[in-house]
Amino acid sequence: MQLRKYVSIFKLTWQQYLAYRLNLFLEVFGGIFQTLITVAVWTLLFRFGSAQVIAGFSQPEMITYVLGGGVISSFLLLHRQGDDISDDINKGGLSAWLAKPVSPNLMWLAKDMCRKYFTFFIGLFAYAVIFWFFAGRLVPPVSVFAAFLLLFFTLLAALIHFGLFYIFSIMAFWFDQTWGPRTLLRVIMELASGILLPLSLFPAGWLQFLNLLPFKFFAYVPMQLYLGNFSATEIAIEFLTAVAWLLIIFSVSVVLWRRGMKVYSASGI
Amino acid sequence: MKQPIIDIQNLRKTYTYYKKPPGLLGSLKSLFHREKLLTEAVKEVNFSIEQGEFVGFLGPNGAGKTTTLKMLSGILYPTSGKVNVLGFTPWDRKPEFQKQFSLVMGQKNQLWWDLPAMETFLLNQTIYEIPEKVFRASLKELSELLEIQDILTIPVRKLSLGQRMKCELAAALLHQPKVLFLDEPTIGLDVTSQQNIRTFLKKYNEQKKTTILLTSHYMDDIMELCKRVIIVNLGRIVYDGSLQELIDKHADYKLLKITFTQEMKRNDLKKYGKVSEFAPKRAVLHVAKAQYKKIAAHILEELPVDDIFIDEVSVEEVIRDIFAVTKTGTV
Ligand SMILES: Nc1ncnc2c1ncn2[C@@H]1O[C@H](COP(=O)(O)OP(=O)(O)OP(=O)(O)O)[C@@H](O)[C@H]1O
Ligand SMILES: [Mg+2]
Repeated sequence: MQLRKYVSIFKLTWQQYLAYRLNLFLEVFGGIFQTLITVAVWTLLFRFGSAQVIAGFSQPEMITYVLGGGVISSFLLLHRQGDDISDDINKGGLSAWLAKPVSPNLMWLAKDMCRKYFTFFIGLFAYAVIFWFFAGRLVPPVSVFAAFLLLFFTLLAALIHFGLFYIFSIMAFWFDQTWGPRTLLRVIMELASGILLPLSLFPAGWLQFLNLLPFKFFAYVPMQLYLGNFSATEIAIEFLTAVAWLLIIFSVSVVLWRRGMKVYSASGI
Repeated sequence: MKQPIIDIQNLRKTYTYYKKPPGLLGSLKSLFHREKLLTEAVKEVNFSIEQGEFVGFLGPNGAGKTTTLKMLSGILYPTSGKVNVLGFTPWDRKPEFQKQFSLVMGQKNQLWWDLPAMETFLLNQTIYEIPEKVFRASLKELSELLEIQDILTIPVRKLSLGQRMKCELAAALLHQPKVLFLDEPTIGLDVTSQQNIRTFLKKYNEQKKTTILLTSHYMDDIMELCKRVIIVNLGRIVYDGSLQELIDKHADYKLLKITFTQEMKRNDLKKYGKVSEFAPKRAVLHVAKAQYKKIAAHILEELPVDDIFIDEVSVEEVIRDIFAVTKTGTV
């Protein structure tokens, strides 16, 4: 069974992260803390703007949106994303995997999913504290189905996120360093994912543009689903967009990987 | 005739890479124009190896050994040439091929750094799809032979270099590969650890009839393990044959190590043979094998000798000579 190989890699990665649990905890914690600042800003806006609703969001909805988005991004959007792939290519770690009956790409995917899952797990404590603190001021998911959609789309988001960074990381086949483009990607992502403010607050032209990008799946889409702000048709469109992005990312990856393997020189060993 | 287990024909590899100018301005410029550089690491390599052979793959730094091994393992695509290992073309990376060989690099480990070696072993069990029974038997045998039973549960980063290398070997052999590529497996180890690894490899090759291709800069490794050596220099094979014959052919002289009772002049010694080392009261002469007795007798008679010692040329010296000669031509 092929799947078993990647489950084993997942398990080993899990154990490896146990050795770094404190670091990862602090990273998640830092991410959440950033979110709390955003929450504070929105609270002030509501209080001093004395508005009941901003762009269709009531105050509890907005706080739920920002906190929820913050939680998702805290385990999804890690800062060192892609470092390991880049290093494997530049420092020759990839060679050992290439000599074994296992796919390096699925290996990286398994490791990445493990990292996301592990970070989520490690963050649970911080999330619990925050949700307890905000208990009365949050809105529950509009339905069980909405909660399911949140989970399902977060999973899609995890795959899209891996794929995007994968593409930028395997640029290491051609360049010594790839953190430049990856940092740029991360900065764009911060804004275009809707972590700071719901994308629907952007002017129509911008919204249209941001809707074409895949970053909205990292916060905006899952949280809108949770709040029940999408119609059935919109949900279907979002799903198809996500699938389309996955297909695009997959096709680009396949081409880049094939070309990359031709120029891979296994340097560093 | 029986099909050799490894067969290489006209293998070539040219690395292409880009010159990296220093500084920020330089890297900005390089975005638009990059100077292309080529290194012909392997120019023409041909050889074949039969099942069960233990072959030494020698050559000075940068000769192209590691590059060749990487192509044999399917990690690199060659620039041109044909390679057949176990009936497969390595760079097709067919799982059926990958399950039958192993590559061990002294400089790079496959063990997971923060975890005990046992975890990597278990991972390899699933990756190579080793049945539980076979795995247990393999593990038991290897850990006994390598004497690593007690360190399997210690995180790898806490092991010594020698212990780590033994675990590396075990990890690479659990699936009982038919072909084993070893790239400097004893590098950096102390003499005892080197000896342990050698003893293990010797036994393993004898018992399992595993075909092994070994590179090492330690001649003791080669002497003890390999009947046949392939010497490569500047990307070309310069010798392929028995180690003993090579030594006999090149070591056609003996060493006379002489101590004198008084200071000598270098010129006084030249007529007896090539002076390879000289200090006023000590000298080493190279003399033809056929005549060394006669010459030694002459020296004893004619010079103020305190002590004279007749020695064989060391393998290191032979190899050093060959590496020096082959900068220009073949052996
Ligand atoms: N990834 C790479 N990119 C460019 N050139 C390389 C690369 N790897 C090796 N080379 C060059 O190819 C040549 C052969 O290198 P190789 O590593 O095969 O030598 P070697 O025989 O293994 O040497 P050593 O005994 O030092 O390990 C050297 O000139 C080296 O500089
Ligand atoms: Mg080498």
